[in-house]
Amino acid sequence: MKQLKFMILVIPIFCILNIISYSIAADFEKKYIIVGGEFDYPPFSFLDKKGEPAGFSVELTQAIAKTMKIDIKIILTPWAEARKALEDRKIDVILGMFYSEDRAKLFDFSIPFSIISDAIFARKNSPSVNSIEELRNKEIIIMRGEIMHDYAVRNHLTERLLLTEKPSDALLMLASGKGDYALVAQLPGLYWVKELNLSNIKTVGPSLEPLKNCYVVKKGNYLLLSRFTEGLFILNQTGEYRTIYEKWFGLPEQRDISLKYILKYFLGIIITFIFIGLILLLWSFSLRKQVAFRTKSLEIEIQERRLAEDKLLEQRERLSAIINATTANINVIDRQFNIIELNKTFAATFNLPKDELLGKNILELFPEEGRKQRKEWIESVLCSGNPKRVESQRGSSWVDVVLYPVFDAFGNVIEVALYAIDITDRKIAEEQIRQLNTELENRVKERTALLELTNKELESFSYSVSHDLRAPLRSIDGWSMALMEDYGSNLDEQGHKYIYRIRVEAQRMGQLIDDLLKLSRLTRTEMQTNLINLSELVYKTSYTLKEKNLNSEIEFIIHPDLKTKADEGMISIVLINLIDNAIKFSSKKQISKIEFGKLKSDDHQIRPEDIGKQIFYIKDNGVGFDMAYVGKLFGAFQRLHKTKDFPGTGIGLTIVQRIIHRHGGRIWAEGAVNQGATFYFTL
Amino acid sequence: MNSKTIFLVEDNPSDIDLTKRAFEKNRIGNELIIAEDGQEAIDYLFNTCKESKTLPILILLDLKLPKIDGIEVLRRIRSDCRTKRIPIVVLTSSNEEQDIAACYDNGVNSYIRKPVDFKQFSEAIRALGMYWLILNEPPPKI
Repeated sequence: MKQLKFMILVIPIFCILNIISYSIAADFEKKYIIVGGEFDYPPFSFLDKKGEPAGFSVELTQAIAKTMKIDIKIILTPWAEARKALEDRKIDVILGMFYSEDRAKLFDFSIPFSIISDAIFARKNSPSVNSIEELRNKEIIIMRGEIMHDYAVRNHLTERLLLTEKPSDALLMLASGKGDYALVAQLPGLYWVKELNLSNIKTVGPSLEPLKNCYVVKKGNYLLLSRFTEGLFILNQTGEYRTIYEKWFGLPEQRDISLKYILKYFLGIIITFIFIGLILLLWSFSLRKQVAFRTKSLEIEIQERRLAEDKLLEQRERLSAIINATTANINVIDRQFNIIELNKTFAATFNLPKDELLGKNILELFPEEGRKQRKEWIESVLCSGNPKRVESQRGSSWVDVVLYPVFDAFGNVIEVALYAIDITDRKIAEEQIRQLNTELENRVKERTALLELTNKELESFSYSVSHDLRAPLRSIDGWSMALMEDYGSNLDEQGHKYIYRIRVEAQRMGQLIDDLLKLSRLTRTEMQTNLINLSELVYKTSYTLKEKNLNSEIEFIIHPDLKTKADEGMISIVLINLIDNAIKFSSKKQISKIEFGKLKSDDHQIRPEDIGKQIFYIKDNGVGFDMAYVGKLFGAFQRLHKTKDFPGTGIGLTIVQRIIHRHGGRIWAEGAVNQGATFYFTL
Repeated sequence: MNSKTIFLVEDNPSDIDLTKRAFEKNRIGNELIIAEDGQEAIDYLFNTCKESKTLPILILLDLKLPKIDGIEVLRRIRSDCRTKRIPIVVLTSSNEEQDIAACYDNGVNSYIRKPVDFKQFSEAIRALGMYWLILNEPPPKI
């Protein structure tokens, strides 16, 4: 601290002085510099037992002189003499004077080389003093020309000043009972109290304002002063200043320490220590508590972590069980294609222990030709981050490979999981299916061709029938007619009847041929199914048929809006036939009653195979039929009634059944003789 | 004698005679020229053209014919500019849809299925004679 202060003061000054000092150095080297000082101001300056100057200031001055190569002679005198000598230019420098503004008017001061405080000394029975003002009008012993002397005079501190030449004198005077107080620099004062064994004297009150102890020259002799200042600086730099300082001040002061003093200071220290101890104790207690708390929470944390680790382990075990349980090859590779995870199946497939496979480049496991392909797959997943699925053939065996990306927290693909299953069996099966399908297709083609051929034959057959079979019938009819017209007069009534019979049969044959052609045409026509309104169709049909049977009274009951999907043209044929039959077979009744409707879905008649289907019916109140012959009802050209009673070729219901079957439906009939008939159908 | 001839293409002699009879019964006196197969029909028509004789005003055409069938005969008649305007009535036993369609596609003027009942047949002849020979305005000569 002291040194720092010193440095702050010295550096700027030194910088300026250093520049000019060399130019004038030559003048001083030849001169003989007389350094004055207080002869009784230990430990700064005093005459030792041999009468030689000694003390801190003396030694420092000698060190500066040596460093700066200045020849000096130190003369220590009483303080007032020394000061007078400087004023009279009998000496050049004083090796220690306290700085004050008053003195600065007469002298030039160097930077301070030490800071000294004056202290107030008193006899032991005196009360303590809190400030210098309390000394007002007391009898004060002071050194003549000392800075406190200046202070006391200037401030009119007291009338009663006892002036001495030396600090030791001042203290001796005080000890002997003269004066009330002595104002002496603290360090020299204490030195003398000890040295002279003045046990009845003590310092009372505060140290007075710190004083800067400086080298001092007659006003204007700054050149010399700069040499000293420079010297001081150099000594400070070299550490010699410190050595000298420690020699004089650094050693512990041997003081006469009283019990009270010890108690006073040590009690303070002890209390401080106890206080610190208490604080430490408290601190350690709270620390211990904190540690306990932290330990507890750490334990909980550790336990939780252990639980989590256990769970993780379990999960890992579970996952590993899953991947080992599968017969698929599973492995995970890093971006360098090195295997970092694998399952038992994978190890078994390559017939290598797991340890040997871990860290191995996966591509090395495959023969040359398979590597490039695999590398491309993996790279594509690494680049795109999208899963990939591929099927690959190796020799006769096939594998299905799924490549799945593994992402890090930032969404970068860091690994790829590969899942491969052997699909050779499936491939073989697929191939077999394919072959079978091809065979089947070929067979279908063959059959279709055959069927087409048959169809063509059928077509040409029906074409022939329609042309060639009808022509003779027409001739028979035509010539019978001619016979009757031209030779009718030669025939009796019986002859006319025969000719009529010939013509009727020829025409019936024509009708049969036409019906047969209709039937064959039905199988060849393509179906076009749409949603149709059966009720409307029944209504239209019934209207048309009513027109044809104006002589009969017919009552229709048509349940509205019954709809189904069917080929409208074909269904019309069905309805015409069924309704025409119903009219025909009920024509002997006074009123024909014909009903079209749909069975309710919970009707007891519904057979299991028809559940969920719409069942329509057409019912009449006609002659009905004997259920014993129901099997003949839908046979081609089968008739249950005499032509004389009810005309017809017997092809109608066959056509109806053919159409219903083409729609995937079913038709059946119920009836009893003279109790009407009901035709049911599904589509 | 009416100079406007009717050309009958028919292979069945019974049908030819019955047709003739129907014409007579209905007092249609036009000259009836008969060809008994498709080839004969075509030969007659195109020779007639060369010899610059008058072409028939009506052709009655059966479909099922020896050598060249009726639809082919129809096609050839319609594709020749000299004969393409002659009214042709197909008179046949068939009512096969494909035949009817083919005839109309090739420009037939009428399609009549011969009924088995001669009364009805005769009535059909009467009607078509009335229509094509009297009511219908014949095409202008080329």
